[in-house]
Amino acid sequence: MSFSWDFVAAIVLFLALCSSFLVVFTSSSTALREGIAQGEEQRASLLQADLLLKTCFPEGVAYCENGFLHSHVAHPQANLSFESGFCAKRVVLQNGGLEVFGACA
Amino acid sequence: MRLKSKSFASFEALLSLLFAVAAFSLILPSFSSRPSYSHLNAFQLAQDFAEASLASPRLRGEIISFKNGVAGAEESLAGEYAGVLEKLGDYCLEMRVEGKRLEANCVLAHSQRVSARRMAFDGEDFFEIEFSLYFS
Repeated sequence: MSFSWDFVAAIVLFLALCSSFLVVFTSSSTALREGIAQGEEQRASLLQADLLLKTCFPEGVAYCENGFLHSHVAHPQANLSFESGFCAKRVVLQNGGLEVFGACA
Repeated sequence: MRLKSKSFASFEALLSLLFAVAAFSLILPSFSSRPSYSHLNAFQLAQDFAEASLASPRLRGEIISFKNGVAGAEESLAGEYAGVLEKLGDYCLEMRVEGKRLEANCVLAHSQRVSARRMAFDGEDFFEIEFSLYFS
């Protein structure tokens, strides 16, 4: 039985490939998981902002009159301020002027 | 004879390695793709600008004045939009109405654009107005 260098080379290549795949796969999957979590946060903020914009004050920020919701018009008493960090921002009318309204996840 | 057989096997191993690396590099971009809602948010903002601008009697009047070439209307509108864009982030707003063009906060070059169009009435005729938001 003779010693085969081809067999050793194949084993070394296989191990090198496996280890590099494991390293890249781990780091890529971590980055992907963080990206998906960030995307989910964005989606939640956008939905929250849209919902508040389409719900009458005081539950939401929309100005309603006799059951009619005025599109993109915020109630004069609605609080449009938002915190720092990722917030979905929308443009609304309040007291006749353009204002920025934000909803944070 | 033995030496020839050994070099042939190594070439096969090298070829396999090259194929494996090529396949791996093809799969890799799918791991790095991230979902983003920035395009959707910009589209919502462009719609907001169009809707809110025409819902306000004062802004609608200023837009009609700008369309008719009234002096001072462009500066007033650009100032109003620039104040809002400052709070929104790095966006550039362009408004087009009957061949006239107004820009606000357009300092940097942006790669993406979304638009919202509306029809409005100036008391005599209908006219089309387009709001475009540029972002990166």
